[in-house]
Amino acid sequence: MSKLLREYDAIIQTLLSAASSDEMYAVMRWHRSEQYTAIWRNHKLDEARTSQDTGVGMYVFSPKGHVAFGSTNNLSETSTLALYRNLAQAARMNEKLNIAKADEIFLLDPQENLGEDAIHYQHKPLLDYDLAQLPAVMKKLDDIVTGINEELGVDASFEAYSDIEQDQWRIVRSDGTDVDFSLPKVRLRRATVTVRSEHGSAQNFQRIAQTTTDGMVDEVDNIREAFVRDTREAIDQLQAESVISGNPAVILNSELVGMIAHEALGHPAESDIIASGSSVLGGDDQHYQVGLQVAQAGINVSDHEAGLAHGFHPYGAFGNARKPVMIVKDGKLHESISDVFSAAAVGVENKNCERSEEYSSPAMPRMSNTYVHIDNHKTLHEPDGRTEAESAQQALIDQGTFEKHPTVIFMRGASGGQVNSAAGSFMFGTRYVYELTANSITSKKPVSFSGDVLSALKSISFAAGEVNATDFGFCGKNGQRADVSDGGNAFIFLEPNENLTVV
Amino acid sequence: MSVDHINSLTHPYRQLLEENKTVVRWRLFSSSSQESTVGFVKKNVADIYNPASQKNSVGLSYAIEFDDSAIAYGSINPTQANPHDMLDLARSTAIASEESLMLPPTPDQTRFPRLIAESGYKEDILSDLLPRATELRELLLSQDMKAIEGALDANYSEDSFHDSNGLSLYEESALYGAIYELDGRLYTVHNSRTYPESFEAVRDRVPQLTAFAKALSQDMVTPDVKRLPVFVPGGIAIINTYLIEHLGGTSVAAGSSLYKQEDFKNHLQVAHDSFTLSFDQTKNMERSSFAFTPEGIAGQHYDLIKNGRLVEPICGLKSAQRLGYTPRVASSAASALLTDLPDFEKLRSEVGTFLIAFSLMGLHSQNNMTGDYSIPCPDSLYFENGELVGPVRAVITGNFFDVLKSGQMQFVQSSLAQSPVLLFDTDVTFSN
Repeated sequence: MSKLLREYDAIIQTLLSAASSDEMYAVMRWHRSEQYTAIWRNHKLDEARTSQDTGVGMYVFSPKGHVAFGSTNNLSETSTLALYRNLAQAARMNEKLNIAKADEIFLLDPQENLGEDAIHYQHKPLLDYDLAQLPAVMKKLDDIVTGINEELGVDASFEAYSDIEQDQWRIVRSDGTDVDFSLPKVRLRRATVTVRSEHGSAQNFQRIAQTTTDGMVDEVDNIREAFVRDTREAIDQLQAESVISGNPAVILNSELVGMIAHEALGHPAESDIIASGSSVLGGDDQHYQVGLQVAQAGINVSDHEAGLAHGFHPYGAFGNARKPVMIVKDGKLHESISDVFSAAAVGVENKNCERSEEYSSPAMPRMSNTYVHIDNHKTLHEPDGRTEAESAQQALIDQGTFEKHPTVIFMRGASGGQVNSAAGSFMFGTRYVYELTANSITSKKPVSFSGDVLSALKSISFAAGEVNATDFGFCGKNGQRADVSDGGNAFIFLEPNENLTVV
Repeated sequence: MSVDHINSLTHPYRQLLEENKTVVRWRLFSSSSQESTVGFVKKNVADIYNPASQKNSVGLSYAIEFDDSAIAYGSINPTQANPHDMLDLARSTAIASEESLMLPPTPDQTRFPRLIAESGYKEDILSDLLPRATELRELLLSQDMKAIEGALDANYSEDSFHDSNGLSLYEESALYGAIYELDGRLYTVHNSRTYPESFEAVRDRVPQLTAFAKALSQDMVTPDVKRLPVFVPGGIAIINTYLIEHLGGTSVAAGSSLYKQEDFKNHLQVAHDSFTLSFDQTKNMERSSFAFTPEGIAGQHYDLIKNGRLVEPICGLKSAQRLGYTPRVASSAASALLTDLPDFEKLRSEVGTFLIAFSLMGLHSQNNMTGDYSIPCPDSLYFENGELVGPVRAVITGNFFDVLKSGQMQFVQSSLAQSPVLLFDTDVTFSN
C-alpha cells in the first residue's frame, strides 16, 4: 500500500469499483507537483513564483484491450467519475470501430510496492526548504561577473533562474498494484552570462542539478572556477576565427558525448520509435537489431541509474519497477528502452521504461540517465591547474594522436541539438571549440557538429578519463518534458569520417 | 461552462483579497479547459502512445502585493486549495519589491475578437475526431508511406481576469488542430478556430506532400553548386530565433538581449527597408488572436519592425513599467500581417534552380547573438531549371542578420503550409 496521496483513497476505491462492475481495467496515476522558481535579474531577486497542482491521469481498457486516456485536476468524486465514464465509453467505441488494441496491459504482473526506503520517499513540503538559498547562489555567480567586468573592463550581464520541484506520484491499477514515490529536484536551471564588445555579443551558461538546497550551495563553489573560465573564454570567443569546414579528427568532452548518446543513439533505441518504423536501429521487420555491431568492441552505452540522479524514477508509468538497460554492450546493440506495449513487437524484453512527466501526459518509453562508458579507457593526468582543453591536448599527446593527425578539433559543451531517428542523423551546437596541435591551443568560434550516429560510433578510437555523470537536461520527446542525465568518459576521440561534419 | 461558472470559481478568492487589509493590489487569472485528442500511426488509430484522450483542467494564477511592498506570484488548483491556502502561500513566498505590482490598462472590451464559432463547442467532439483521424490515416496509407504519425485535436477554454482596480474580463475560445508527419522527414500542421477546417486543410495537402516525401527517399544527389535560393517551409522559425527572440522587454531590460534600450529609441536598422512585421491580435476567428493574457493585457494591433527598423520592445506589465512602453504580447512571425505574397508554385517555376529544405536541424542551438547559422537540412530536394533532380543532404551557412538586411529574403504563400514559406539565397554544402 502506498504512503503518499492517501487522501484520495475513497475516490480511488469508487473508481476501481466502477471499473470492476463495468468489466473494465483502469490505471490511475495520481500526481502532486509543487514548484518554486526564483529569477535573478538586474542584480537582484527579481521574481519568485510558486505553483501547486494535483491531478489524475487515467487509462481505461476494455476487456479486449481497447484503450482511452484522460486526465483531470478537479478531483471531486463527481468529476473523476464523469471522466472515467467518458473514457470507458471511448474505449468501447474504439472496440466497436475495431481500432487499436493495447491488450499487453494484461501481461503486467501486479507490482509490489518497493518504497520502504529513503530513495522512494523524499517528500518535503515546499515551504520547509530554505528558499533563500536559491537567490544566495545566484548572487554569488552575479558577483563573479561583476568582478570580471571590473577586472577586464568588459560589459557582461548576468541573468539566472533556479527552482525547487517536488513531485509525488501514486500509481494504482485494477490488479491491486498500488505504488508510490516522491522525487525532489533543486536546480540552477540556467545561469546565463551575456558578454558584449565591439566585436559582437556572445553568451555562456552554467547549470546545476541537486536534490537539496545544501547540495546546490556546495556545488556552486565547485563550479566557480569553471564559471570564471567560461566567461573569460566567451569574451575571447568574440574575436576568434571560424574553424575551416570539413571532416576533421575531433575530440569531444563528456557533455557532448552524453548528448550524442541520448539524442542519436538512445532515441532510436526506444521501442515505440522502432515499432513505428522510424528508427535507424530497427530492421526491415521492425525488430531491434540485437547483436548488430555498431561500434568498436569495448564500447558500452547504458541507461538507468540507482539513486536520485536527475532522470531517476523507480517505476514505469504503468506501475512496474523500471529495469536497467544496456543499449550497446561491447560494441553491439543489446537492449531496447522498452515498455510492455512495444517490447514484443520489436523483439526485446520489456524493461518498463515508460514515463509520463505529468498526470495529463500519455506514457511512452523514454530514457532516464544515459552514459557512454568505454572499456580500457586511458587514465588522465591529474588536472594540476590544466584547463579542459589542456587536458584534452595532453590525452592526445599521451596517445600519440598528433603524429597521425597534426590538428584535432576539441569541442566542449553542447548548446542543444536535434536528431532524426529514422535517418540516424544528428546535429549538435557546441559552446566552445579549440584547434589543438601538439604545442598549441587556439580558441575558435562555436561550430555545428553533424553526421550519422552509426558513423560516429564506429569512428570512436579511444577514450580518456572516467565517466562524468554530472550533466543533466530535459528531453522533449513528443512535446513532454522529462528530466534526464547523460554523460560519458571525460574525452572521446573520433577518427576523421566523411559522414561527420564540422561547419 | 459559462461566465457565471468561472466567476463563481474565483469569487471566494476575490472576496478574500478584497477584504484582507494586508493586501494592497492583486490580479487573478483563472482558466478552465477541455482538450480532446486522437492520434494515429501507420499501424492503427488511437493506440496506446497516441490515444483517444480527454484532458480537463482548471487553474488559478495570482499576483499579490502586500502592504510591506512584497509581491508574490503563483498558481494553484482551485479545486484542491481554498482562498486562505492561496493567501498563506503567497505571504510565505512574497519577495520585497521596489516597484508596485503592475495592473493592466483597461481594454476596450467591445473590440475583443470572437474566438469561437457561433455554433459553440461540441463537448463530445472526441467521438467526431475518431472517424476523421481514421479517414486521414487511411488516405495517407493509400500513398504507401514507410511511416506515418499524426493527430487531430480540439481545445475549448474559458478564461477570466480580475484585479484590484475592478477590471473584470472573460473570454471563451476554441481551437482545432491537425498534424501529420511522413516517413519521419516532413510534417504539416494547421490550426483554426472552426471545425473541421484544420482537418480539411491537412487532408488537401496529402497528394503534394506525399509526393515530396517519396522524392526524399530516392537516391541522394550531390549538386556542384555552392550558393542557391532555398525555400524553407518552416522558415518562420528562423525569423523567430534570430529576430523576435531579441525583442522581449524583459531581456532588453536585463541586458541579455542582443539589443539595448537605446537601439529601440534610435530605431536601429536591423533589416532591409522593405521588411515590416506587423500584428493584429484582434481579428475575429484568427488562430493567433486572443482577448487577453493571464496578465490582463489585451490583444492589440501593432508594428514590431517598420521599414527594417526596431519599433519598440515587446513588454509585459513589469518591463513596460521599467522601460516606459505600452504593455503588449509577442506573437510568432507566423501570424504577422503579410499581404500580396507571391505564390510558391508560381515563384518556384520562376526561380528554376533551388532547394526546398523541409527540416532545419538544431535551429535552437544556433548562435542568434552573432546571426551566424550553420544548419543541416537532411530532408531537402534539389531542383534545376524547374525540374526535380533529387534529394540532397545539405548544410546551409551564412549570417542571418546579413540575410535580413540584404532585401532578397521573401515570404511566400503556399497551400502546403499555413505559415508563409521563407525564400532566401544562402551558401550551401552538400554531402553524400
